[in-house]
Amino acid sequence: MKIQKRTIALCIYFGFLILPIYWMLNMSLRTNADILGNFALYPADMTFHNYVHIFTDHT
Amino acid sequence: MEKWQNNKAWFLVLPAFVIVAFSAFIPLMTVVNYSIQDIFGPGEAIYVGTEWFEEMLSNYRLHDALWRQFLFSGLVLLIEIPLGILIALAMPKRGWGVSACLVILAMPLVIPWNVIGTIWIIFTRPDIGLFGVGINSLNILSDTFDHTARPLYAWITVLVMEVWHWTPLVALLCYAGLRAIPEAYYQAARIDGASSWATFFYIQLPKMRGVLTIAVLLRWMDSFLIYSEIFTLTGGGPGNTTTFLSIYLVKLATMQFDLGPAAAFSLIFFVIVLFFSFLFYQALLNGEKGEKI
Repeated sequence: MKIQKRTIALCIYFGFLILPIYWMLNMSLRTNADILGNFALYPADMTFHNYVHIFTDHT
Repeated sequence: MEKWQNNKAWFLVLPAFVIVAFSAFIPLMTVVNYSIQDIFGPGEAIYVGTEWFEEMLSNYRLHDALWRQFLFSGLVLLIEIPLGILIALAMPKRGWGVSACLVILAMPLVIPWNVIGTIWIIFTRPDIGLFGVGINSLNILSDTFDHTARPLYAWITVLVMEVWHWTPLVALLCYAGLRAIPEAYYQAARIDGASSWATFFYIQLPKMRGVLTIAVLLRWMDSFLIYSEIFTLTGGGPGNTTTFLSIYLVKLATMQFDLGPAAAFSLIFFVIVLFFSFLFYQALLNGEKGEKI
């Protein structure tokens, strides 16, 4: 029982560690208008346009 | 003892000496040079003696930044060290879970520092960030959580970011310390019928002293010198409420271009960090000696 409590606490901490990084990933897969327009926990229509943009934009 | 006749071996020290001179000594002396002169332009400098030092030591903005810095570094140590120990204690000791935990723990440590600031700007924004939206939807705060508007929320954001970023390092160090304890100690404790509290206080904590010394020193110095994350996240604001020493220094040197005072400030800053690191090191070292008696 004690071991389980520890594991749960550890999992909560790891969630806290992962969430900001996940949120960044979530933002990277959405368009600007979508990010500012509606709050979503996961990208509904995923787009890789942002990645294409940073690798092809010469400026 | 007979003296060596051939002293050519000294030439072998020369490369190391040159590297240290160019990487540490000459830049430091340049700062010292600036700190005692008033620079008007290229080739126009007037010797002012200790005027900048006197000005900086009586500068109330520097005092404010210094107290803020002490409060911040103190809070960081108070939160991160116990949390790191708890995480290390909760981590699995064998099996696939160990590598999984290590990978997750190492993640915040490999992100560039200004990216950390950007991540937390987005994460805590009250309109699009999960943290901001989440805490506002709970309706426990009297006004909207927005780190650009309220000093208290800016402090909370900066502290949470710092704890998020660096607690894994403390946890990894503590975990390494815990793993280095021989199994025989635990067996002896079990035979004596020691409780888990007693095991922690008489075996695990004393055995972790070495790594904890390193953790405290590293976290103290790094949080004292913190710049990139906070510059990206709050830029020292709102007002001057999160302007820590290094942020104030950069404002002074690059935005107001007060090179002389900034150089004097750098040297004072350097001496403070050196002094406190020495103090911590001595305190932890002497504590260890006292224990062995």
